[in-house]
Amino acid sequence: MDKLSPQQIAGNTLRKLIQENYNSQEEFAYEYHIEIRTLSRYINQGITKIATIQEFANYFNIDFIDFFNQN
Amino acid sequence: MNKLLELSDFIEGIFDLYGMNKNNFFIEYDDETNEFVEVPLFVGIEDYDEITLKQLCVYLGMSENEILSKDSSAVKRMWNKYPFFQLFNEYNERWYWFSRFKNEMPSPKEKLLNILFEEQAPIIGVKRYNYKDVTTRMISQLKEIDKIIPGTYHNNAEITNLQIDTEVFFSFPDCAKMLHSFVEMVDRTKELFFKAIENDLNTEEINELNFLTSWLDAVDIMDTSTHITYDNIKTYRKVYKEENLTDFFSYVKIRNFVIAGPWRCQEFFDDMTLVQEFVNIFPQSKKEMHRFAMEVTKFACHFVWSDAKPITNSPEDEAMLSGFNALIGEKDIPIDEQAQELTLIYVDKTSEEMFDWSFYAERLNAATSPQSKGGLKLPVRELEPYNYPDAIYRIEARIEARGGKH
Repeated sequence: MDKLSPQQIAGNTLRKLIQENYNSQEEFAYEYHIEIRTLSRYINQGITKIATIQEFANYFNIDFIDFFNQN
Repeated sequence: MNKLLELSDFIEGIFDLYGMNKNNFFIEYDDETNEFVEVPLFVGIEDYDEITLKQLCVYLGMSENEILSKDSSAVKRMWNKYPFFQLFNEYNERWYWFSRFKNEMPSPKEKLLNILFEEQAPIIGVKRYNYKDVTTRMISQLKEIDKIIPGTYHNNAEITNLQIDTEVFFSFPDCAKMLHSFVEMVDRTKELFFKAIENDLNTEEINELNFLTSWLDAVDIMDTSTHITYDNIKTYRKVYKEENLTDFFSYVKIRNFVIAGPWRCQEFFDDMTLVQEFVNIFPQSKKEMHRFAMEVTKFACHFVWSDAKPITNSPEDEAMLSGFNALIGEKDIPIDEQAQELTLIYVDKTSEEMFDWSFYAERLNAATSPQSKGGLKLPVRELEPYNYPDAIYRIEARIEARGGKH
């Protein structure tokens, strides 16, 4: 299996955080006011913008660096 | 000054008093220059025109006679009923000052002295931040992140077009009073709206509904070019009755005031019940509060790397843009001529740069966190505007109610 890029790891972390805090990605998308299409792209292809990861980290109250932790 | 200009000045005074949008009355959008331009209120130069006067009556919630006789007590009707308007003016004045400076606002005496003796009595605003220091920290942060995400720091490039934005908290002790009065205005609009669906309103009620609708920028949720003025409610009365909803916000969207961002007040989160009421009116405000939470605790640094790639869109978006260009007869912009990608990075504020705001920032962060962690709840509407196929039926019903006019 190919090694995941940091952006893809960030997308996976977002998926986990949503699973821990919401019943569905749609519910999160409504609350966070984000297009479901954009959210799917972040989760499946990765998050490329640093500021976007910083915003999610702040929202879920975790450190920026923890977004790249694969555990 | 001729009588028409006097009348026009009187009316503009009403717009200024309430901070109302002058578009389509005193200003208009110029398609050729893409700018708003000032225009005379009335069509003629000798006398007022009936069409504009009728539009003003609806927009300002006043009778023709009250406008033409320049009735100042009629002008103050809503001002006296809702403390919101005076408080909102004070809010804006404080915001205008504290968004730029950290020292106290000049007193009325200092302002007067400044008007009389500008050079001897200058008004001095003290800036909050040293942006050179922020830039240095931004570069260090980019290098740190580069260790996690290689390519974040561009070794052989320069940072260009740097713009640093941030937000501030400021104190407005009357924040709760202002919000209470705002909620009261929304509740009154709701009450008159539902009453107008079932019954005819009296003149006083019509004027109040029309004024509140204009100020709040309250529009039909499926037809956002239509304000819920009394006449428009009557046009849609049958449609509203058939939809038979009890939730006002499944019919109506309110667009004004949220942009003022009252969460900038240190006192905003003192009354969480009131804040929840506010979010019920403006669900999107939770996202705006979160954006504010980012920018009040950090600096938002926007810039372009000198070697940044041109902005690229997805193949679907490129096809859509190309189709649009073909429609207006423009050629597609070659990729190497497109604007370069913009970089945004947030740099944390130090404790000194946060002044005494940590307490307010913590409350803000808690409120904007996920609902499961105690954050604000977003309302669930009785009928969401974009539910398919309901949305199609609702739009069609409105077109039919207007006699088939789009």
